[in-house]
Amino acid sequence: MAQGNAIKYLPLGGVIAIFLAFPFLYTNPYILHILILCIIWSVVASAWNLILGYAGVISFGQLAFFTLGAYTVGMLHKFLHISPWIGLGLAGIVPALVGLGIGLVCLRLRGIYVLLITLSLQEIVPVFIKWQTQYTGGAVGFSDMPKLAIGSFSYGNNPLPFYFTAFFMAALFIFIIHKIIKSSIGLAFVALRDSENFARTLGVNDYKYKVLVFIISAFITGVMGGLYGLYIGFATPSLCGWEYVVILLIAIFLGGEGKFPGEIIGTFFIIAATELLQGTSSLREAALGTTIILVVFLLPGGLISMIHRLRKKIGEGLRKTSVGAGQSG
Amino acid sequence: MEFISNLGITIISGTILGNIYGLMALGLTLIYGIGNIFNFTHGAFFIWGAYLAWFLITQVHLNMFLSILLSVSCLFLFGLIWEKWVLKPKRQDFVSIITIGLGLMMILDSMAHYLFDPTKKALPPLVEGNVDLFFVTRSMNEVVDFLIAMGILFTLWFFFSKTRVGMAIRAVSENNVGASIIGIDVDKIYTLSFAIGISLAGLSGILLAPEVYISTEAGGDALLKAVIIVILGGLGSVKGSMYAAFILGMIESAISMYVGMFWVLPSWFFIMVLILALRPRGLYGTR
Repeated sequence: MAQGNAIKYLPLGGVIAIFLAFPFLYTNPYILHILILCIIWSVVASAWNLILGYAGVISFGQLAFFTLGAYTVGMLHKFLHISPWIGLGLAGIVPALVGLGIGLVCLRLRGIYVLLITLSLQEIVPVFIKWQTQYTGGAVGFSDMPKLAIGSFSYGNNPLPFYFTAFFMAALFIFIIHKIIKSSIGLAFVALRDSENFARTLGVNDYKYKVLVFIISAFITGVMGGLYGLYIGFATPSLCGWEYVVILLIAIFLGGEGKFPGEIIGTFFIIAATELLQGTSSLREAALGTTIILVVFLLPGGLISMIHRLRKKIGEGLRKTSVGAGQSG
Repeated sequence: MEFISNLGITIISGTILGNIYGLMALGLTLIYGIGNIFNFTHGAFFIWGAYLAWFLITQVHLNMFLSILLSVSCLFLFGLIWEKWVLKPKRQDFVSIITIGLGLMMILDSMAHYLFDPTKKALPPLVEGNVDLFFVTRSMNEVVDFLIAMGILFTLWFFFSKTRVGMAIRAVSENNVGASIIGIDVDKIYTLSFAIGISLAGLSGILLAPEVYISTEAGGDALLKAVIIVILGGLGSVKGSMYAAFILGMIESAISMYVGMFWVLPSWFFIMVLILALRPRGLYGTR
């Protein structure tokens, strides 16, 4: 039994080992920078997939929580001199409170209302940021981000400590998301997705669970937003634009909606691609828009299901050719 | 006397705004009511209408009313093609439809940025001159806007209540299975109503453009405003959207008169949250 467990956890351990060893084996700061971004965005994608793919809540306001997190860390340090570590916690709590307010209002209504109110949140957060210029820095952006430090060791502009911080936080959050999916809450969502009325007759209170998961998702997204703000060193209202929404949605659809570790792989794929292609074209957004439409049409169910379909097709093709060869011979 | 004239300005510009917002929200309501889909591209078509009209008027030097007609027909045609060729196979899949809309919105915004460069554009007023209304003086342009919007609303009312196609659209929005049983081509109605919806978005963009500058950010604001109007009016209710547009137009002009422009969108947002908390079906909607 113990041996079976060890084999089961072997791939996971391997992935963790590769991630921990990578920066020492390959010390290119630019690649490290892309990896940090990938790690941060993959947690955000995971938190979004938890709410979109599992809970079936069509939330389009995740980037609003992310932006709120980034601004919370910076503004708390600038105006109240709160340490960025405590600020990171509060960067989760502030979006979670906003999520609680919005979730209580809209999660008992049909999905279209959730979409409309979260979309409005997404549109209204930049309006607030551009409005309260004396606090937020307005449209130019907020650049007084504090520097993270452990004791007397300051992170400075060195990406290495950020890499490990991001990795450990990501590991923690992805573990939590995994636990939620495997828990009775996750089972309840699967039941609701498969047969809503039957699940309700069994006494599943979807409103309560949806609010809970919505808050958790907002919290995780907010903390990651705070970390992103600290790493990049500034926050702009354009963070809350549709560009990142589309990138994350591509990641989720590539990995498969509601197929848990898939979106993490999808994020690494798309973030690396967009970072490497950055600045090549002024029509970047158009390319992203085209990509997501193509993904919706060509990859229903994500890359994994495409691999399955391909394998099936190749198998059929092989069978046909072997039969043909047999007949001719 | 100043108080009365301020109040007059508020009421008159509120009515004009409400009228144009009504057209915009009507398009969104129509698309939602027929296919139960949310049109993410509403704001993008709002600015594309304005950009096309700006291009035809100031660059090609066409006649104003001809260029308005031409740009709205362009959007109508695009809507027909897009619905028929792209949206049709995914109609039943809510998340896919939204995602495709989001993708198209990105493409349209980016193209507008690329083709018309990011500087803000000003559409010249449709007509010059001022006019005296009771205690206040307004530009002739606003009055013409109001008359055009009223004319379109009346035409739409006539179309939906007196013509066969309009009645077919209403039938499909009430019950699409029943409508197909009595021989209405539901597919065509879906396509047609989508095209009408985005043409209305573009038209409202053109009518509003002389008052506000045209930029890609205006599209986001327009989408947000249309969404809030539709929620206040009740999803899928045409009558509700019209009343909500007038109420919110009045609120907007009162707030920008007495408090400040920046308060408009935040206060609209809080009104929406309040409505959803207290009366989610809005003024006239169904749950």
